[in-house]
Amino acid sequence: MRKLISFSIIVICCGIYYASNSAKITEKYTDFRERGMLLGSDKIGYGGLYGMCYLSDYRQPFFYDIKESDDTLVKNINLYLFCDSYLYYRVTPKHFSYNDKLYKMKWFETETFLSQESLDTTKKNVLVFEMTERYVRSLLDSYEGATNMLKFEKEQNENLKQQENTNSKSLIDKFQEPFINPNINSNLELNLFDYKLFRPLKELKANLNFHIFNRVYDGVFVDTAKQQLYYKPTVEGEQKMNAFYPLDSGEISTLIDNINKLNDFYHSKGFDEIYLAIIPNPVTMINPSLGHYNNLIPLLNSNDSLRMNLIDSYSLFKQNPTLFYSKSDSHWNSIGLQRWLDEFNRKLKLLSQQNKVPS
Amino acid sequence: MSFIPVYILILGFTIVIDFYAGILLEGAKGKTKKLFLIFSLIANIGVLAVFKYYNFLLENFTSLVYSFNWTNPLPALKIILPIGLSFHTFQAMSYTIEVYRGHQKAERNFGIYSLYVMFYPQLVAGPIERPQNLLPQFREEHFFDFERFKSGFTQMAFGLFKKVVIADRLSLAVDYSYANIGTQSGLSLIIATTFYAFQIYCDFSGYSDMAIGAARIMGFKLMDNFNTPYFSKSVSEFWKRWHISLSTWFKDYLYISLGGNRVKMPRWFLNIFIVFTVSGLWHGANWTFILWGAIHGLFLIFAVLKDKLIDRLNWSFLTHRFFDIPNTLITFSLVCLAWVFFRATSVSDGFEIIKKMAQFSFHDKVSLYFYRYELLFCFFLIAFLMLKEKYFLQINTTKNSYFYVITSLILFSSYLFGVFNQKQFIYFQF
Repeated sequence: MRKLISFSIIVICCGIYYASNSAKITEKYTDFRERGMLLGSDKIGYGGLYGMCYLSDYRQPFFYDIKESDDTLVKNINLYLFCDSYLYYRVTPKHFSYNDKLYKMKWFETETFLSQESLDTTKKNVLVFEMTERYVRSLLDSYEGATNMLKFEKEQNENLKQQENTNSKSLIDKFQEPFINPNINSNLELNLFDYKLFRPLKELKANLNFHIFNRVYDGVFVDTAKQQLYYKPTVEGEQKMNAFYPLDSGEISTLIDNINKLNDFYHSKGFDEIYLAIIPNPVTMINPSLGHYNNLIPLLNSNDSLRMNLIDSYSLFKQNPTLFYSKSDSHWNSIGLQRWLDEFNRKLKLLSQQNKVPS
Repeated sequence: MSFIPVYILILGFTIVIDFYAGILLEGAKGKTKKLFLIFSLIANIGVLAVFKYYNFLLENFTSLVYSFNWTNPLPALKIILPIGLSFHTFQAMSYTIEVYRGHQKAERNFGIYSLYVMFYPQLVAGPIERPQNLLPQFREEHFFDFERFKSGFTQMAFGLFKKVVIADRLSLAVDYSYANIGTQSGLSLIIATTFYAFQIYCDFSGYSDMAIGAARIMGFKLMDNFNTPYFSKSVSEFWKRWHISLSTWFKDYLYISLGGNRVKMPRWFLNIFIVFTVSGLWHGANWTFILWGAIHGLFLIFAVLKDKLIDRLNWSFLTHRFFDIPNTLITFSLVCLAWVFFRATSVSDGFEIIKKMAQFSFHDKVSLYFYRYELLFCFFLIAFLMLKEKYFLQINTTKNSYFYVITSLILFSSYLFGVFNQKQFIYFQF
C-alpha cells in the first residue's frame, strides 16, 4: 500500500511537471479553465491587470459583448488584419460589414504567417495594422518584420526553407528541450494555483501589501487617485512602451518613413486600402498628466507626409476616455472596441459603395 | 549562473573521475598515490577553473598585457556558470582527500557514489558533506517516521519563511540602495548593509534549513551549516558558526595542509590569510569576493594578536560576561563592514559605500524605496529572528497539535508576507 501511494505521488508529480513543461498543454488547460470548468481561472475574466495584482478594488467582470454586423449586406471585401492578441481573439468575420473573408494574424507570432496564393481581385482587399500604442515604437522601428508576416505562395516556400534553417537546433538544445521550458515556473503557478478557490487568499495578500506596504505586483501601476490600474511599462521606466519616455523628431521621421514604406509595399502587392489603427494606452487618454506625454499618437496622426490611412481612436476616445477603458486592463474595453468597429465599418461602407465589384 | 540540463555532463565527468580515483587511491602507495590524488584534484579544480575563473583570469591578464602595450591572444569563453558547481566539486574533492588520508574506504558502488555527489537536497548549495557522514547513510534502510517528518517539515517551513519573508523583503531595500549609491545617504547605506547581513543569512541558512529538513524527512542526517552566527563575540567565533561546512572544509583540507598554527607566527598568519583569501575566491570570480575574504583574514590575524596582547597584559577581565554584548556588537559591525565588499558590484563601489557610511549623520534622510511601515516591518522581522534564535532555536513539534498549529502559521505567514519575485538563492551563484 505504501509503495502504491509513493508510486502514485511520483506519477502525479511527473504528470504536473510534464504538463507545465509543455506550452501547448498549459495553453489548452488554461482555455479549458477560462470557460469556468474545473473551478475556473481566477486570473482571467476581470482584466489582465487584475490578474497580475489581485487587488480586490479593481476586480470587475470583463464583458465582450460586441454587435455583429448586418448579414444582408453585400460581401465584397476581404479583410486582412494584423492585430494584437486582444483583437485576434475577440473579432470574427461577422463583426465587420461587407466582409467576405477575414484573415487574422497576431503580432509577435513568429512561427506562423499568413499565406496566400494571390489576392482575390474580385473583392476589395483591405489590410489593417492594428497595434496598441505601447508597441508602436518597437513594431514600426523597422518595417521588415511587418512585410515578412504576409507571404504569397512563391515567397512562402522560400520563407519555409529559411525557417527550417533557423529552426535546425543544436544537439545540446535538442537534448535539454524536453526537460526544461523557460516558462516552467509561471506554467506551474498557473496550473497549480490559478483557481477561483484561491482568490480570497490572493486578494488578502495583495490588499495587505498594498494598503500597509504600498506595494503592488511589479508590472502594475496604481494611479495617484487609486481609480485606475495601468500597465507599469506604459507609465514608468526608460523604455519605448512608456508614454512619457521622450520621443524626438528623428524617431518620428523614422516611424513615418517605415509606415510609408509598408504602405507602398502592400499597395504594390495589390491591396486596395491599408489602414493603421493605434489603440492609445489607457494612461495616454485617462491620465496624461501623470507625466509629460510624449505625444506619439498626435504627432503621427498630424504628420502631413503620412500616406497610410488612419482609424483614429485617439480622437474617438478623447472626449470620454474612461468610458472606453476598463479600470483593470491595459486594453480598451468592449465599448471601446465597439466604438472602433463602428468607425471602421463606416469606412468599409464607404469603400464598398465607392467601388462595387460585380458579384 | 544558470540551470542548463546539459551541464549534468560536467557533474558526470567529475563523478566518473573521482569514483575511479578513489578506487585507485585506495590500492596505491607512496608517490603513485599522491599522483592519483593530484590528478583527481586537477580534474576537479580544472572544471572550476574553466567554468568559474577562466574569464575572470583572462580579464585581469588582458588588463595586465595592455599595460605593457601588448595584445592578449587568448579568447574569452561564452560559458555560463553551472548552478552549484563549487559545492558539488568541493564535496567530490573531500571524498578523494579522505580516501587518500585513509579516513574513508573507496566506494565501489558507482550508484551510491553518484548519489553522494548528487544528493538532491544539498546538491546546489550545500551543506558540503563529508563522505564519512553521508556515504554510510546510503547503505542504511530508511523508513517513514512521523516524528522525523514533523521536525524535518517544520525546519523546511521555517527555512522557507526565512527566505521569502525575511531575505527577499530585505533585498528590496538592499538592491535599491546598492544600485543607487550616488543618491544614498550614509545612514541609508548603514541600514541597507545591516539588512544585507540578515538577508544573506536568512537566504543561505533558509536554504540549508530546507535541505537539512528535506533530507531528514527521508531519513538522512546532514551536518548543521549555521549556528546563530550573529551572536558571535569574535570574528573567529563567527567563522565557527557561519557556513560551517565550508569553513571546516577549508580548515581540514587547506589550513591544516599548509601547516595550520603549528608553524612560526608569520607563517601562521600567512596561512590564515591564504585560507580566507581562497575562501573569498571560492565564492566568486571577482575582486570584491577576494577582498571580502582577505578582510576576514586580517580580522582573524588581529584577533590572534589581540588575544596575545590580553594574555601578556593579563587583562582577562575583558573576557568577562559584562563585555559579551559590546563584543557581539563589535563583531557584527566588523562582519557588516566586510559584507559591503561581498555585496558591492565593484571594489570602487565598496570603498565609496564605506566612505559614505563613515560620514553618516542621524539627520540623514533614509530613502530605501520603502514605505515607513515596511521599514518598521523589516526591523520587526530582524528582532523576531534574533529572539527566535536566542530563545527558541529548535521549534518544539513533539505534540502533534503544536506541529499542526506552528507549521500552518509559518506557511500561512510565509504566503501572506512573502515576496515572490522569483529571486534566486544568493549562494546558487557559487
